[in-house]
Amino acid sequence: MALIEVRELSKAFRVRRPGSGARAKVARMFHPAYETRQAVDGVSFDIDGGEIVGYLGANGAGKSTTVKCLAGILVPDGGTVRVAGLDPVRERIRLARRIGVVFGQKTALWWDLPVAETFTLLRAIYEVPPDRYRTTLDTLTELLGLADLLHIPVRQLSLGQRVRADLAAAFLHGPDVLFLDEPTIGLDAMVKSNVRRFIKDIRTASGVTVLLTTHDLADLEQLCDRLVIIDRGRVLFAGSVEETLHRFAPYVRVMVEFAEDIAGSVRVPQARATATADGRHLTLEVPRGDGAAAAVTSYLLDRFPVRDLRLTDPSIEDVVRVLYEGASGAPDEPAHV
Amino acid sequence: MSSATATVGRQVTLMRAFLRYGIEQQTAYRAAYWAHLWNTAVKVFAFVVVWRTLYAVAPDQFPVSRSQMVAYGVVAAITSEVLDWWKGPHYYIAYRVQLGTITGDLLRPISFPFQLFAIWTGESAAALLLVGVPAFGGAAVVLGGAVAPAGVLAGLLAVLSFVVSFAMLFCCSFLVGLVVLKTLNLLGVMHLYHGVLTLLSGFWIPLWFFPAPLRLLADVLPFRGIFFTPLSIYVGELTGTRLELALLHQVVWLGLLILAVRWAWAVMRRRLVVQGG
Amino acid sequence: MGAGTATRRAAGHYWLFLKMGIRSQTVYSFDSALLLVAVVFLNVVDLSLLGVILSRFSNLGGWTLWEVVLLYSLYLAALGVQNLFTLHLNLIDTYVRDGTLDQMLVRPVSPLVQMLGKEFHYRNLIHHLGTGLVGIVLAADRLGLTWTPGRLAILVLSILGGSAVLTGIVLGLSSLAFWTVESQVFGYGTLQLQEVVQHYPAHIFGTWFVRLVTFVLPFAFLNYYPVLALVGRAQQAGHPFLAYASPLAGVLAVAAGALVWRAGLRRYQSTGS
Repeated sequence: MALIEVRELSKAFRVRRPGSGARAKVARMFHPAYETRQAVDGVSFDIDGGEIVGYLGANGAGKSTTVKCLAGILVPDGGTVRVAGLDPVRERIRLARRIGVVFGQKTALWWDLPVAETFTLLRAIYEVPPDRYRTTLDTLTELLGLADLLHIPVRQLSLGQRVRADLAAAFLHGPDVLFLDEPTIGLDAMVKSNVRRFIKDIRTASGVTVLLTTHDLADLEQLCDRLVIIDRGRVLFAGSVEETLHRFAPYVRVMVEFAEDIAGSVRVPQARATATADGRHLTLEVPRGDGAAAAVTSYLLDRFPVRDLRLTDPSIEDVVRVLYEGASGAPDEPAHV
Repeated sequence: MSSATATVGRQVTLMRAFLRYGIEQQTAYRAAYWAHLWNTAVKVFAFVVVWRTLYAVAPDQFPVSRSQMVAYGVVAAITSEVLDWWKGPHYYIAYRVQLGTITGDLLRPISFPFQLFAIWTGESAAALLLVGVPAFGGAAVVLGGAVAPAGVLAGLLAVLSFVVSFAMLFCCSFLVGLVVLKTLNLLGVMHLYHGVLTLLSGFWIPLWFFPAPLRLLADVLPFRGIFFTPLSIYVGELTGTRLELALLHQVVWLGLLILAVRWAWAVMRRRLVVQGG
Repeated sequence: MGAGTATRRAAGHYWLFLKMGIRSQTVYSFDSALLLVAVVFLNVVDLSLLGVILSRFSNLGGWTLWEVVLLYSLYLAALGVQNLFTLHLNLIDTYVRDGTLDQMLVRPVSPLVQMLGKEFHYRNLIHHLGTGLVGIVLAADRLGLTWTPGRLAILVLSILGGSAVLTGIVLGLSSLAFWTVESQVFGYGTLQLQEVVQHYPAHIFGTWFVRLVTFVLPFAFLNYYPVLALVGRAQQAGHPFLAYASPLAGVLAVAAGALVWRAGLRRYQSTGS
């Protein structure tokens, strides 16, 4: 049986529409206008115990709303949700003991207090037995490198340190399910990979099930077993990460800036030029995997006066666009400038 | 000559833009507007009842008639809500400092005091229109002629006096804003300012009830010009030479306050530019 | 689980959260020292002006100067206690908007308990409560009231009851945040009413007004009724029982506030707005 079951979940919000212009503003003081926004519109998926599943979508696609419905924060308008066999709404408090939640944008730690104080409080309210608490805390301290942070007030932590402490706080009571809402947002590359490694390690060690929302493709590639992509409240695609990336984001981008105008054509095997702003800049799409990116990079560096070179993943918006277009050409032609 | 006209034209355009901003501020929150109107109504009601109650106890203590005292209370309650000094230029300065956008304000090609004056004028005009007029209309319906000024001339002079008092209150609030800017302590300074205005401006208890030493202090300081002078003119308590002297007191203090604003701002600006780099 | 166990659990959780709130308070700074001076100054100004008026008119609605001082000071004392524990309830709308409430909803503790225990504002200890107590002692002295155990009990229970009344009202009004994003405005909308109840004996505004501040927005239990009890004029209250009813009113107000909170929270969870 799946540990998380979502069937035809839907959820709408009513938002106030402000007037524009002084007259409309005055009028709105007497008659406010509302409109309904369907945040989640018939979403279904299953997650088995021990899986790490990425929940993807652009901003406003309905990711956070889904997570809030699963965590018992919001009551769905329609459909059914079961997490660890519980109904998140009717059995919110029982469920709370079995899940851990991290909102990347908003800390659960006490702002003015040392991290350790929050941990002590959480121990008490989750009624974690002292010996189990100690071993869990030791493990988390080790895995997340918290030893030096525990006695620093949260407001003095960097974002990366804070997110690490928040992850520990969400895992202290040994939950069966972790909901991570944009856990890597705004982090630098090193902290991101640190966080990803932690999630993988903790899954291996405890068998916890993880649902994480993100709009970072690297999170998926390095962390997730499966993914669900939603857009405008609907599931656009669900499948394994490898298959998805292969089908819908088969490229990484190489952006090059040359030191001088390159006359004539630059031919790069295995790569396709997508944009050239002028004679100095070139953007190439290179197939994902098999060391193609490395080959292209060294090819460029060997033959051309390269001033700057950057590798990026396509954005989730690109993937969604490709999904809508249902097309993805193979990079079989050499690039021309 | 034509460049002077152009400057004036530019100032008028800017003034209008800031006025629009003021109206937006006043109407941004529907519920806040209704709460403001409701608070004003409660304040008017309280002032009227208290003065009527006290009038019944000892009419001889009042230098004005019962209906004049009611008019004083009504106009005092409404004007003190319209010229709400909890949210004046000082609040705006502190807010912009907190947001860190004060440098942007300073970079605009208009003097900062003038920007604040324009914004505050806009907000106050909107408050007068949206809160003051309905509240006064309501009071007039309920209380009848009691809320009217002592006469046409008294009414006109009171309006003139309120215009001066508006400028005085702006200068005071702006100076308080600079104190906030320097001490970075909005709440403390604002409470002190509020206490001083409550005590010395006469919007709550008219100065004519004050014991002699306190009265002397209040008469000398500028704050009586903000509420007490225009209100006393409105109800016809101030006439003749005393009225002229009171107006003179207002105008002289306004002049001094403007000089103080210019001087203090020049000093502060230099320091801000040096600090801000 | 029995009701007693549940209550004890809730109280235990409240204490856990309150302890965090108490520890969160940062050190006293110049900021707060100046604010303290300013708030005390503002209260002294108010009292002086009331003094100016009452020394001229001998009484306001039959109340003498020091009875009005007692009225004003009792309000301050109850306000002070409420501020100490639940000042942050004004911010419920902010907590809804910035996701703090969502954090509360994923913990295995009643969100109301978490909300009530979120902060402790000990800076307000002196601002209002301190000033209020000084005023009460001074006024009692001038009125020739001796502090018998009975009167002391009435005073303490009235201050606690009054602060509970205020907590209930603030909780109820701030919980309107769940229906409208602009809920601080409802508290703001009662400010003038509170000013009136704090400064003047309620009955001068008419019987309907006394009923309004007894049954609808029961601010009169903060000071008006307790004063009548303390000066031994309970029979002047609509019913003598009301003079001693502040603790009961406090319980009822908090219960009413909690009902609004619960309805609001349910609405938030089902509409998310």
